Amino acid sequence: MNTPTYFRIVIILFTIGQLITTTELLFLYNKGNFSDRGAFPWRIISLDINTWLNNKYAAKILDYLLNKYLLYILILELILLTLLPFITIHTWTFTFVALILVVCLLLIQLRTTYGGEGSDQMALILVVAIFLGLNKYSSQLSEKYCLYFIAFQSCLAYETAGVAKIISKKWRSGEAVYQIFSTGSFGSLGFSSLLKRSGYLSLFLCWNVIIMEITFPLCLVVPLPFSYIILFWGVTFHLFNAVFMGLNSFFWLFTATYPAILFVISNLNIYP
Amino acid sequence: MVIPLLGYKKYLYYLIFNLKSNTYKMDIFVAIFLGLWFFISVIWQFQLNILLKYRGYDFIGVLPNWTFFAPNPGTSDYHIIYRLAQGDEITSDWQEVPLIVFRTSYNFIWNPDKREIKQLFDCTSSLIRLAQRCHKEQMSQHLLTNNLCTCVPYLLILNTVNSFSFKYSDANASHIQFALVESFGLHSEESPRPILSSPFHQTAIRTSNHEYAHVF
Repeated sequence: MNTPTYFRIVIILFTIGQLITTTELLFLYNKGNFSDRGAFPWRIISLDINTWLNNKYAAKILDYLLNKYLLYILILELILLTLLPFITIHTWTFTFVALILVVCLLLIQLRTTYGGEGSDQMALILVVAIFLGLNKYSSQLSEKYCLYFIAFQSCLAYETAGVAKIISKKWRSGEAVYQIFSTGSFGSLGFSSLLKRSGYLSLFLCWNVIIMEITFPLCLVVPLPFSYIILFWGVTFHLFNAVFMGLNSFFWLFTATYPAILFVISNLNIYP
Repeated sequence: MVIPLLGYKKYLYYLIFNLKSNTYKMDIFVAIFLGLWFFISVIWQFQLNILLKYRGYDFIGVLPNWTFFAPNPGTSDYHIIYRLAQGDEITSDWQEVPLIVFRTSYNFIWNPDKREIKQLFDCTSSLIRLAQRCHKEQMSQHLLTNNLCTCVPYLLILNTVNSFSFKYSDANASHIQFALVESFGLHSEESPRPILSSPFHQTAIRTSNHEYAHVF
């Protein structure tokens, strides 16, 4: 496969994940969550941002974009996301669409400062890499840089999460998974009851996550069959999180980094 | 990053013959921009005290901290409860703003409600961090209350409570107080623990045409 093909798969997975996120935001908008009496009122969220900006014109522009015309921004993002996979790369059209998408995502990230999640941050990484790698002026070299960047950010994410877990006593003892699944916020009543009955299952899952996350970056350097095993492990992990924890966007936006990882593996070609 | 990808000879050739092209400029820009972003992202994972004070300015979240449920996993739920008062008299019992909803079968595809829960989580964590910082700086109770009551996470929670009570509670109440409570899981026998209790605030006002008017 050549570089644009890897990028195409990244774009498709990114688009699916981001379409889900944007429609969820539109749903919240429709429920009134972004209005003054909703959970995400701009007049409060903007306080810190405006203090930092200290510029009434910038504040006014942001108010227009993120309060009065937020609906249009969300609809625009939805339309552009739908178009993105079908546009020829390295054209002015692609450059323009990708650039507007970067701006839309930045604005929405600003709007969801509170309540945003890790998958939103990965989406931002992906869209910036898509723009920089596939715009009118970018060469094959830029494409490579961008795929490397996506792959390294993904590996950094798993490694950091793994290291943070192994230094935690709750994770090492196996308590963490049971306790997380016992919460109403991220848990599941049925699954937490199962974990309560079987302490070994909780211990197994804790260590399964720790080992998967810590060893994840090795997929770049181990022989190909092992890389596939690690990536399959990652897909299963995100699927599990989506089903049992409701972390649906993580599945699409983190697996969107996997084609970039596969590219880096083939590019490094350590085991030809 | 250029050298390992192209090899030294090709890199030199590339450097000499492409100096003026836009593509070359773009390649250099992409390498520096993404290289710097990744480098700072790596440093950011260490959560050094010197960097943490700038965390509040990263409104867009360009520098993620990928620790996900670690080292201290979120093993508790946060709840908002509130009560109302009319003048000096408390007129209602503590009631909960129902934010936590149990997973449905389609949540693995579609789950918009997670953002409200995450927001409460973010706001509560910010308030706890702020309170800890104030204690560390040995602030008086008066200053601590002042700091907490004027920060964005506090105002967001107050707004949520105000809007909910405006819809579902006594319309004649003049003041509202909320508290944040932490519970410890579906199977826990441990009693919920209060984290923070607000002073009484004026409620949202019903204007003549039954619209919502702001009081802060």
